[in-house]
Amino acid sequence: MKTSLYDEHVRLKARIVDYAGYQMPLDYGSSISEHRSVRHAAGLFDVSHMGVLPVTGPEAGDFLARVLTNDPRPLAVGQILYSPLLDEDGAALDDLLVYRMGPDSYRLVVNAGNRQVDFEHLKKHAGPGAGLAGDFAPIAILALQGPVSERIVKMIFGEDLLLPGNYRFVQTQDSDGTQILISRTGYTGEDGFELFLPAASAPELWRKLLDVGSPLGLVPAGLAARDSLRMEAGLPLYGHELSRERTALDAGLARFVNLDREGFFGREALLAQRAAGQVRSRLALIATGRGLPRAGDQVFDGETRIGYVTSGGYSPTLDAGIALVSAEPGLRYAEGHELTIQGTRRPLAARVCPRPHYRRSRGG
Amino acid sequence: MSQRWYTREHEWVDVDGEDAVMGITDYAQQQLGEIVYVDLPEADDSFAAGEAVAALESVKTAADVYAPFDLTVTEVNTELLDAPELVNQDAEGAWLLKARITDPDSVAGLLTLEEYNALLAAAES
Repeated sequence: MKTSLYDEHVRLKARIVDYAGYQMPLDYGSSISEHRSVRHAAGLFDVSHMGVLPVTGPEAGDFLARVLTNDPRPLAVGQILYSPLLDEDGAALDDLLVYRMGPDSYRLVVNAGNRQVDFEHLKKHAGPGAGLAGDFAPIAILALQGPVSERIVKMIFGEDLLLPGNYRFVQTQDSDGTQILISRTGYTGEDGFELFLPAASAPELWRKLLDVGSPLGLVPAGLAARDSLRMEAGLPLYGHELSRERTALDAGLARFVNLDREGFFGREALLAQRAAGQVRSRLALIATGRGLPRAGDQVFDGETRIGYVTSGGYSPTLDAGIALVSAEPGLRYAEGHELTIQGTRRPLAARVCPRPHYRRSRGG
Repeated sequence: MSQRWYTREHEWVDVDGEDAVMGITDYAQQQLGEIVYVDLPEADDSFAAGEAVAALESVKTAADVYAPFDLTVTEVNTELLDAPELVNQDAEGAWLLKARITDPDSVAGLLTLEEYNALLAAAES
């Protein structure tokens, strides 16, 4: 499948890869320089492959409170929250954002690769009072991320537009009447926005953003930069930190799981995991040797295997290999502790560093 | 006067008598994507044909570079250790190592540019 921006990617000489069935840009020449642009200026991503699932009806809120670990009912219209999605046995099916569109109307934004599983799971459990739209509207999603994003959004939509705060959204129209939802969310560890609009209008907005933003340093950015940015920022990726095998607690998402709240899927399993002291610990590592950790590599403390890499790769900010590691329950290490990452090739020396690897300075 | 040959492992080799210089092809660097580490052997290291002599690690993946024949390394391009991006910028200019061919009989199966291009064309189709 192609998103409505496919021709733009080709025109910009993107390296195209198949991702969850979509032909998506991996990079536009250099993921490393795209990554740096997002940290210092801004990057524009096509994330139209994400799934959008509207949930509506008088019982939509109660339904979502039952299937999500994080209760969306307290949200005001215009607010957004993050939540893992677990099955009845506590296995993670996905992680997602919930947008409160109206009193009885929510919108879920889910991972591309999980949209079908999510939909079938939700459909199975939705009662008559919570309707799930069976068709995914042809929507485009653009992510504008980086410290100059706000200036660019203001240049496009006007200084008068009241911009949403973090995890909030506003709806507006552009000059030719296209409805656009502007949400202050992202997956890079930087300030930024995600823009939802009809697919047919997306190429024009994409070009306009690049025209207006490029003097400020805005560049198109692909999936490779998206992955290295989220990894540096310590943000979980479904299938890596969070999966059917690695629970929401293993993934470090306890603050999005209120175990004191009764009546949501997976609560008993997570309570049991916690009571048994079986929550895996998480480590951030930086390679001190030359080489890159890769997902699946084993991690050793001396001769003892203590865990494995859930995400690994090159960090342009630190100019080194970095890894997110899932380690045995209860393991704690002081910063600087030396470990060995063993992949399919030779061992790679690494040390424990503060989590996350990158945190943006605020108020700058 | 050296002649440039290519291998099925996407390397180029300049051979002049018993002296050889080698690197990876432009196709190989495109497939690897952005290279962030280049690991090189040391001078006087010896390798048999088919053994890994060097390794390249890119954002995407890691790949070995294989000895096209029996060789002893005479010099490595240390400039690449701090500037691995030179391989992406000019793969057919950025040599990895210079070597002495230790067994002329091990030199076999090298491809001309035409043959290498035909190999790529076949792989693409």
